[in-house]
Amino acid sequence: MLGFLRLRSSVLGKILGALVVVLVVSTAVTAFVDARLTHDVVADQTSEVAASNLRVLEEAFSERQRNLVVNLQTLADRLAADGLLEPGRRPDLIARLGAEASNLELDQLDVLNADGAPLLPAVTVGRLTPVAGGTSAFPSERTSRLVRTEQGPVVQAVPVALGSGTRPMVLMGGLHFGDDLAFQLRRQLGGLANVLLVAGSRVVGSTLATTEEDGGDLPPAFNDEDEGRPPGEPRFARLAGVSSVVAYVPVGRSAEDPMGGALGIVLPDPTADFDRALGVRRLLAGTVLAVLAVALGWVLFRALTQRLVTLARTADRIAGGDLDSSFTASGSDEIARLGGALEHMRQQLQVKLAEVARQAAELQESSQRIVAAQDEERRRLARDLHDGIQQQLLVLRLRLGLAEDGAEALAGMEGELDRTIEQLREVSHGLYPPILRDRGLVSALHSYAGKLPVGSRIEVSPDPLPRLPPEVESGAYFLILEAVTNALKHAEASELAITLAQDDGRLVVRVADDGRGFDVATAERHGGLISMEDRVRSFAGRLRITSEPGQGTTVEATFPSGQEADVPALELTPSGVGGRTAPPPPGGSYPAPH
Amino acid sequence: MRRAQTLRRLGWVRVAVALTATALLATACSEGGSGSKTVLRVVMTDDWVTGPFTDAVREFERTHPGVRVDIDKGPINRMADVVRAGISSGAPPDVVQGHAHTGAGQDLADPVDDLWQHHGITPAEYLPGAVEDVTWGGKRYGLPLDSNAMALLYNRALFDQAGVAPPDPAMTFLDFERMAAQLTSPDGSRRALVVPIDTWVTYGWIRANGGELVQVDESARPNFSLNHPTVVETLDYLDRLVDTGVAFGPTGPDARSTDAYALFRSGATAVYATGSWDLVRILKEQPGGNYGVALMPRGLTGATQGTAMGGSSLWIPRGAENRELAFEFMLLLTSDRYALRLAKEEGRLPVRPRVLTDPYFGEPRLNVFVQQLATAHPPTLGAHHEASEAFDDALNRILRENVPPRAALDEAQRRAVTS
Repeated sequence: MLGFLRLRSSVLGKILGALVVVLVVSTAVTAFVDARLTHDVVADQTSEVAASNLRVLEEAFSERQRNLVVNLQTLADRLAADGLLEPGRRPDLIARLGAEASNLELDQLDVLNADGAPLLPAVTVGRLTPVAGGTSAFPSERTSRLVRTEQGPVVQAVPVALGSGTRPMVLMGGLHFGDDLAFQLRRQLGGLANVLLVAGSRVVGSTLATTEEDGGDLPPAFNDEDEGRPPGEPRFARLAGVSSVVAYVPVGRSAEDPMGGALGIVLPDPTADFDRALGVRRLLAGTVLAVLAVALGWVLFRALTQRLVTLARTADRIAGGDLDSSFTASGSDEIARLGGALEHMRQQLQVKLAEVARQAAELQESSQRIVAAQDEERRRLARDLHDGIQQQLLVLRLRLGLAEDGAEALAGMEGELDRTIEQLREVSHGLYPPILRDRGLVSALHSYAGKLPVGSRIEVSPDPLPRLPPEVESGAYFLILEAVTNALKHAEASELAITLAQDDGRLVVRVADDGRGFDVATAERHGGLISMEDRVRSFAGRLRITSEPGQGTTVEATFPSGQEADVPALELTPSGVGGRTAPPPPGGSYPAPH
Repeated sequence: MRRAQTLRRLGWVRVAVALTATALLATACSEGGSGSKTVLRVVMTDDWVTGPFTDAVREFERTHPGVRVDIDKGPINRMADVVRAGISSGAPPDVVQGHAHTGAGQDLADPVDDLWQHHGITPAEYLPGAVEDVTWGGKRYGLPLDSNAMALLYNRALFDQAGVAPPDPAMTFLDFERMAAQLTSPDGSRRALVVPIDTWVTYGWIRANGGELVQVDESARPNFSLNHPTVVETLDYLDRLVDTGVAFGPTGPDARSTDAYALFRSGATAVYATGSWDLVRILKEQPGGNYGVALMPRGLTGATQGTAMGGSSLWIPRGAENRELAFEFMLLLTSDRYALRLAKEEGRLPVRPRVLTDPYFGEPRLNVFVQQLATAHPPTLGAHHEASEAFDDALNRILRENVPPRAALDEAQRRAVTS
């Protein structure tokens, strides 16, 4: 069950499902069209078979009628020749008719007057009544007509003139038009056909296995509606639970008996069996086809989707934190290219994450150092206030308490107060120069440079440099102070060049000296250098120091200037190596897309 | 790993091949399910293809959807020729109605003792005469279909008109002759009866007079007695009835009695020696007809009693293609259900005594036929083709050519013995 659900939610399952749906739909459409065409063809053939059977039936019936006429005419001639028509020989005539009825296999043999009434005591049956009613006369000599006997059965009767006296007589011979005849005709037809005999609009003979008395279904009756229907045109009906084809051909019609009767056939409807058989086979074939398609699809598509499944599983593992899992996809198709790209992305991600981790560690260290520096600055400030300004203020307070001559004492304290104020200003200036706050970075640098013991040059681009956010200006200002301090303190520089350039949302600060320089690769990182790094990193900026022994030192820092800073991750590069470069993917270059 | 994958793929291929093969096999097996039927050919005598029979055919086809019953019919005296022709051509019918012993005697019938045993049929179920009809040389050759016994059907109105009392059960041949004279009109247009050229009718008179035409021992060897004195006396008597004008002579060219029925039906004769089927037939044609039935006269001396047993049986010709199916059809047509229908609708008496207990057979006129069964005996001469033809020729010569019965029957006996 789980396997099925897994398959159902997989690409392979969806492909196989789509395959089955396409197959089912295409098979259904094909089967429907095929079924209709086949049904029509078989129905046409059935009509032809029905028409052919009806022709055989009609011919058999006509032959029977011809034989009947010939036999009756022969008998009439012999009766006359034997003198049996004389009134005194009636017993002989009766006995002869009885014997001849048997010899000629007639079911009916009588001598009638022109109106159909028996002239003799009935030999076989009584008065005859045309099935269709109307006159009982039989004006059309030697033509068969369906008549109903007094006892009910219908006979196919033929009248022939008997004798030539003034009193016209008719020799009426007939054959039962019922089940007996139906079975005889069916034997002539052979095959699967059943025969129906219709007199008027009633079935009077049939070979169907079920009858009206059995409660069986009756075939559609031959009636007036059949007038416009071509003989043999089949009608489909369900008889005794069997789909059947019924077709009629009219017989025994005349001007006196327009309805007459009909011969009918009932054939098993081949289209029913055919449709059923075809349906079963189509279903079977469709099922087999679907199973085969699924089986073959499984084999073929599984090889295709297996690599996707592997990639998906690798992605799941990577999403779970296993960055060491690698995407593998053999070949050179789209899936292989997808696998190569994913693998490249995985490696990139691995490098980036390592870089981020390293930078996070450095940032943490930097933050700790900044906090430590700030603590140190507070201690220094407290010491300066306590040891300097506080002591001076205490001295002043003591001197004010001891002063006897107020004016002289005050004159003496003015100088003390001025020094104290100056000292306080220096402390304050050291914390944050007011000129930096009020007039900006360039003015503060000029003010600062003016107090330096060595020559200095300040270049600004653009000039004037627009005001930047205060934290950027102070960051750049104190970094420059640190660089200048280092140059004066450690490099013994005699000339300084300070450059400020704002470009593309970045502020680039560069301090170059002509001092003795140092080997960046081997030099120990002292407090000033570390302080500069921390300061730049706190802005997510970049610090670059270029120096060689005897060649001076250039400190270049890049700060986001408050507008769309796209400064990359903090990077401190060694001397001679400019900028930041990304490592190539392991194993070579990326696969090129086709 | 690769090997495992290969094996798995081969597994799928095997499954696909198996499914395809199954589908093809199923498709192949479903071919030819319909389109043809087994044809069971049944030959019946021509007055038997009526409602009960055709309904039996319908029922059989309904219960055997793959079978079609083809019906052929013809006169009973031509059945042997039909079967003989069928056997010669290699396509005999499957079921024949007639007299099984006749078919067996002419080496046309197939013994069916195995089918009797298979279906648990015993001779005790049937009237003795009915079993005799299907037995030859100690073997069974068919199933009894119907029985009958010849009796005298008479026209009460004509008797009343002639002032003649109904036939007395104890009357002799001579009593009958006197009565016949009373029933005959002066102009001869109405007579007492017809003496046809009909072996069965003649045999009934011979049995009534205590005679017999042939006896067969257990080895099926016949002992003919065509010229036995009682036979000669009987034919003398019948010939005299014709010669004296109290009976019509034969009119038809063959041995059937339809002419006799026509004359009786038309009122030209007052008495008709026949079976119960003609009683039912005439009452069907004339529902209010005033007819009676009497036992056969007790011979010339009044000391004998007997008549011809009628009826028929169904049998299977040699070489029939559908032997078991044919026997199933025979079982259906001879079932009690159809036996009762045949009795009521066609006047054919049943062959099983248990069916005769039905109240229907209590009808007085029909009951005379039932009573007559007790003394009836089937004419087994038909089993001997040459002898039977010789006897027919003798009848023809006696009744048509006025050859003395003794001479004609001596000749017939000679032919029978030398056949």
